[in-house]
Amino acid sequence: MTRRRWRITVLAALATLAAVYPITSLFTSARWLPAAMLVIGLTAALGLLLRGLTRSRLLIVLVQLVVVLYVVLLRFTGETFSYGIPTARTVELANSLGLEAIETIQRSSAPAPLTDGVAFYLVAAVALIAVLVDAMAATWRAPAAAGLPLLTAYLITAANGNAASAVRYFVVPVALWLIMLHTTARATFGRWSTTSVSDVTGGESSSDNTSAMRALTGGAARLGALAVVAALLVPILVPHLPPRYLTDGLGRSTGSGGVGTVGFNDTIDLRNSLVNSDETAILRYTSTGPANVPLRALATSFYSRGEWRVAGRGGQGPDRPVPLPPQSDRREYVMTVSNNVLKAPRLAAPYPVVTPAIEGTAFRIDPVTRDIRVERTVESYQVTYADVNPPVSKLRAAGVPTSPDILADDLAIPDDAAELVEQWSDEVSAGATNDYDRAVAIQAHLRDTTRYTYSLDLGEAPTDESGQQLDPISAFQQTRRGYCTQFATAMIMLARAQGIPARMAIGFIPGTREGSSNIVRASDAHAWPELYFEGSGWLRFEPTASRSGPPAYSVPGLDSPTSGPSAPTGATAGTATQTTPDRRFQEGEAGSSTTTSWVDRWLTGSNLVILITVLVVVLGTFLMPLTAWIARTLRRRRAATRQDLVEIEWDALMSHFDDLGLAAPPGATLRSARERYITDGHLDDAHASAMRRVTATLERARYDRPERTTPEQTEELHRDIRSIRRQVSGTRSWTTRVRSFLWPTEGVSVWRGLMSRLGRILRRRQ
Amino acid sequence: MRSVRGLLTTRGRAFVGAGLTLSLAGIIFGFRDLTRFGVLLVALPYISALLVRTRKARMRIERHVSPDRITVGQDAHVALAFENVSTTTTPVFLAEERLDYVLGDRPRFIVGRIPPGRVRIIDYTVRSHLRGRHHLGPLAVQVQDPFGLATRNAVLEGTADLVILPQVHPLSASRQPSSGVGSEGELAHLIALHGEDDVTIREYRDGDDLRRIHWPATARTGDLMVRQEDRPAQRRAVVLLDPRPDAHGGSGATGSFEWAVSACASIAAHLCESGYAVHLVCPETVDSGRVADTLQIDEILDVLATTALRPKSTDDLLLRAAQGLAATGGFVVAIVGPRGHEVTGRLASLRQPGTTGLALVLDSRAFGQTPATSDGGAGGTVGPDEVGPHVDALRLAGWRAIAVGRDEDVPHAWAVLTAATVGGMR
Repeated sequence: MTRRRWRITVLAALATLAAVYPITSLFTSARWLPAAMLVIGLTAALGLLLRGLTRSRLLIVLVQLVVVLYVVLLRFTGETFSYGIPTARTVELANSLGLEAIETIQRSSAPAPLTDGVAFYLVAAVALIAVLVDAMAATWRAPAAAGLPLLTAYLITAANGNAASAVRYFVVPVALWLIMLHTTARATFGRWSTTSVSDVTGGESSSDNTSAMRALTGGAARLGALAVVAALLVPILVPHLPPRYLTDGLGRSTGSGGVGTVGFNDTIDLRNSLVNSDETAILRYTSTGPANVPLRALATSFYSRGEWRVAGRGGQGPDRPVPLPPQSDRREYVMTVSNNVLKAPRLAAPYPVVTPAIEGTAFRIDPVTRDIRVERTVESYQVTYADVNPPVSKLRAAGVPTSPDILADDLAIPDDAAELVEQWSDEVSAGATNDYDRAVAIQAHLRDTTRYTYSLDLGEAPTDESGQQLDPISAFQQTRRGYCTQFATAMIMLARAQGIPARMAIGFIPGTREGSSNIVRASDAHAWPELYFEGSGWLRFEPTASRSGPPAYSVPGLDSPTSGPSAPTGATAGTATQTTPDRRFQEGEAGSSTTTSWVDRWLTGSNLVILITVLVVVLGTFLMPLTAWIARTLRRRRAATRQDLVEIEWDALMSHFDDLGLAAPPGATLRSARERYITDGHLDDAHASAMRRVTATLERARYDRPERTTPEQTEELHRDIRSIRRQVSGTRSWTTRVRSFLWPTEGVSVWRGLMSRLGRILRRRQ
Repeated sequence: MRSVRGLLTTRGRAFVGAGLTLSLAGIIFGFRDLTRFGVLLVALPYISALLVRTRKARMRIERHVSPDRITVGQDAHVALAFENVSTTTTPVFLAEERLDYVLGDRPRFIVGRIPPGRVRIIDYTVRSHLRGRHHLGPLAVQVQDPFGLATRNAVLEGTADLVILPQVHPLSASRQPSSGVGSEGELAHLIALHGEDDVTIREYRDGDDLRRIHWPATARTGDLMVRQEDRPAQRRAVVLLDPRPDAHGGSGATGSFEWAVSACASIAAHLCESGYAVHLVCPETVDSGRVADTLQIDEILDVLATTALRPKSTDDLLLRAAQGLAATGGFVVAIVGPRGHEVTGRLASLRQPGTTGLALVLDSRAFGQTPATSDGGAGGTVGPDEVGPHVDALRLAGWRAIAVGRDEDVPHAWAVLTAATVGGMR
């Protein structure tokens, strides 16, 4: 085969494509694929060309990287180029694309929308992988190593998808990789032969090497197929722990979480939580109140690009919490939560919280949404919450909402669906005379199960006449199927169209009763709308019929409260008293955030895992040198006499020389070993005489009277040995030096001895 | 399982390690995709190793060398026949014939699958620039899996020998080397063979000399019997090769000993062609007691193919053997190195009066350092002496002697040596 290795190159390109192709299943659109194919093809072509032109492997890889990344930049940020050269604006644009990509990936679950940022970074990642695969497989002729970047590409899908991916996504790249492996193995076979074989007894004396090669390839196919089948079958039979995710990605069904915590999805797309069959309890609670109040983890008003996002509130909004509705309209209960694993900063509690009692972490209460945000997950906490139940008459009479609590977002309707929503809303709420009746009408409309179907499977996204996918609201209106997110979104938009401020609340339905407490699981995740009524504040509505019942006030017929003890529990606090603890907590948070500092923040969750991984890797890399050092130090400490020290130094030198490929002949005497070291180590005169001094000292230590070995001599020996070591390693190649440093016989033998001792002990046990 | 692990290549081991890590990570973190890769990476090398280990087949290997004796620089074709004598088809394997390094690169070949009972033949050519008896085989075999993850090495025993004869240079046959000076024309030295049973008895025919009647036989048979006397005389030559390491210089094919052997072979062949009974005196013939036998040229070449330097001083034995031969007549050709005047003196006394002694004295120093001397070795600095005094000593004793240097070729040296007969000897 030529130096260009076209066969391997083509295989590597195909394998890269096959490995990245499954990523299409993570995004709603495959727009990035043509660009990725272009990049892969370009990498392969460049590789072929450059391998024909130059022998410098590093140069080949460098040129490939530069050209391919340039093409990627040109493709996505081409408008910022001036005269074909990237400018500072390109960097800015790439950065903003990156932020967009990170946001999308963290905020959505598969299949995620394909924003420009995601496409850009996806193609860039594909380019990187393609270059790596090509470099390893073709330039360095090590297709086995090329499996690593291919695996990385494949794992992008595996880590972000929530179930084992389809078999074909596994089989195709693996098959291509195996073909690559076999091609190189075959090439070594082909290079082996220096003569030809002839078959005598067989009639045909066709070239035997070809038939041998064919037999080999047949064997490869059978062997590969066997291994692939095993790889498909064994994981099915082996029980697996539930998936855990170490970093943020599209796949984590329950948000990012460190080991042991179950997170909650920040994005408003709850589907993953809902389909999650994970039976791990998120929390367990007992409440003095009725067990029909959902636990809210967060609320948000910001709807963008078809999904709800937690928007950073850049200074807007009030700095004081909204007052609670008057005491006559609410009752207060205490909820005690235990076994909480919901990931910080979220904390599940019914809305509105009157007094939180959370120990062990700093927390703050969002002034607008009254979400409680904790610094770290606490196992148990207690909240006093209010069960608001204003009379219908009061709601009907509520005036125009004018609280500072209401943001512009609370009335915003996305442009692409505005027309439809207005029309739909008017249709639904026709005949109602006030905001409350309209809201009730909208809720009743959506709760009509003959009209809308609850389903986690949204089916194929409908398209409009021009073939574009519809926005989620229009899609819901058309398909009439969805789950709580769709129902809640629809209700919010319909209410906003009527001028009622509305926002999205995410949390959990009350869960299932087990013994004296309720258990909330990931599958209990829920989303519902909150509508603002002047005088009563944000009120919960429930448009999703099959998930939860509507609150009492939202059903005009049930005027009297149906749940909970009729007498208000004691210790009710007025508005004034409630603001005080909130303030205090806020201040406490501010104070503690300076003390806990960044260390605390970094030592959580995924960072800790990464830190530990890095530590383990570093320790693992330097395990042998460390072992050698420890062993030597121990020996030195155990040494009784100066002679022993000399021997230890000499042994260390011998084994170091051994590592450098300069071994004394077996059974050599001290002097013959010295001569060998001097000649084979190419010691110059100064070092040769140092070597002679060393052996002389050693001989004196061994055979002379003990007091003849003076401390000065051992000092000198130490110095000599160090300079000899330096000189000899200077003559070796850097790979030998690195190997002798990372894999010293001194350290390895300690482990070998340990292993064999362990083996002997085990054998004796049997 | 331990033996399986031993079969894995570095790549295979790396696969197993990575695979185990991946599987563990997959199980702990709950990614079946990861586990798939892990299982694949573990399964591939282990299945390979198992296949490589269990595939056992018995084979009979035969080597046919043609021609079975070649001289230095000639090609010999070796046919290596694999016969599968087991009941299963053999796997594809890589084979490497282990040859003595002087025979050149070890031939390597891929041997495809051989069905039971079939024979597969591999041809390769060997050529040597060094004489000697060289081994072909054993065959090193490597069974490898198609992904390079596991290998099993084996050595198929059984060797064949290939004798590489020393180079024989055609020498000029214009003049008999042993023709006497002053004689008319070419008269070879003929030696009467005493004590040899040289008499046959046959019936009397008319014209037979009556004096030759063998009376006892006549009495026994009742017919007249006569003695028939052949003239059992033979031209005999003794060729002496100097095997002392310290008399030679240089090493390998360019050493003086190789030159000496080649000269020996050429001269012996030349003499045999000319009808001489050639006796070869070298350590091997002395050891086997064949010094006294007249050897055919093939036998001489065989001996010379394998002759080697004798570190232990055997010059005494050799000289005594040569003495015994030379005393009965015949002329002596000695190819010697300059070492030890006492030995040269004894050599000089080998020539019988009236016969010819030819000596090629190697200028061993010109051939380079011997391995023995460069060793700085045990016996101090022993090496060949200056060549001049030895040549002179031999000439004084009536030998025709010349010194040969490194660049001289055998025919030329021989021509010079024999040409000396024309000018007479000094």
